[in-house]
Amino acid sequence: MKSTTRSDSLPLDAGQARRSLLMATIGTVTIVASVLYAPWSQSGPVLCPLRLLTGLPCPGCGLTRSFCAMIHGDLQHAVTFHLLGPALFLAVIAGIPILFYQATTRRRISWWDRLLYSRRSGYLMAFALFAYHAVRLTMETLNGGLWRGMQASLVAKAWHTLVG
Amino acid sequence: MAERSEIPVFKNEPILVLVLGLVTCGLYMIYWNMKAAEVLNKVSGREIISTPVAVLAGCCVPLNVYFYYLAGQSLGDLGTMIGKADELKGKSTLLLVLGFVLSPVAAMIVQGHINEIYDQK
Repeated sequence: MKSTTRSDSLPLDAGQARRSLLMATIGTVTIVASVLYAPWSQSGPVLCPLRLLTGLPCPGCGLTRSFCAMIHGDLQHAVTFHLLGPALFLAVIAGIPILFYQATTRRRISWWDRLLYSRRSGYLMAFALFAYHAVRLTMETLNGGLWRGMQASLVAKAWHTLVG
Repeated sequence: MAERSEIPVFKNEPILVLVLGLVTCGLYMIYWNMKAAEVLNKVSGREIISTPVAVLAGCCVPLNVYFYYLAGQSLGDLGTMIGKADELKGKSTLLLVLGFVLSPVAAMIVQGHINEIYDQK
């Protein structure tokens, strides 16, 4: 794939700079939202569409609560909510200034770019998420949490309303 | 833009994307994002969607919106390849909205258009 090879020495083109700015903005919004949402993180509504509809957790369930806990420096709870939450939180915190810098100066920070566009880091991340989610689902199945979640889902409620 | 023969094969029934996404509690969506990103990057001939972004988009709503924004950009190239440039360019906003509220439906739409690459081979 010759045209997808990224050169470390070339400056960012307009499209890459726009994407860097967009990612930095999304990261900033995520952090600001975590600060604002922190008081309701444990009592607020379910934000995950899969969990809301089916009661089943998705691989990212707990990340919002984990980010909110990290905002308050509560690492213990952050790990409990999502094992990978603290690492992702730190990656977002580190990434925001780097992405803003790249977007505004159009100068490429090569090690960051290699990490962001590395297939290996993507596969590693996917493996970690798959493994963590599999363990979490097994544990929730064994302690009955999965069944209780499904009974409280929108689909189950609609079924009970229709069938009686 | 790449030749059709260079595009990696990722053909699925769109409804299967929804079913597998539900059955695997969202795990399949991570795999789907990675494979779709691979195809769309190849179609565009540049690395628009990085693998780490595709993976995290499968489990994080804000990044999922970003993923479908990038997918919408690639759809223009895909449209040119399958001869539906105008139709697919018009779908980028729809994908962005669906990526926020109903991401499996957005995935089904993208999968449907990816299938067209192989149907016309």
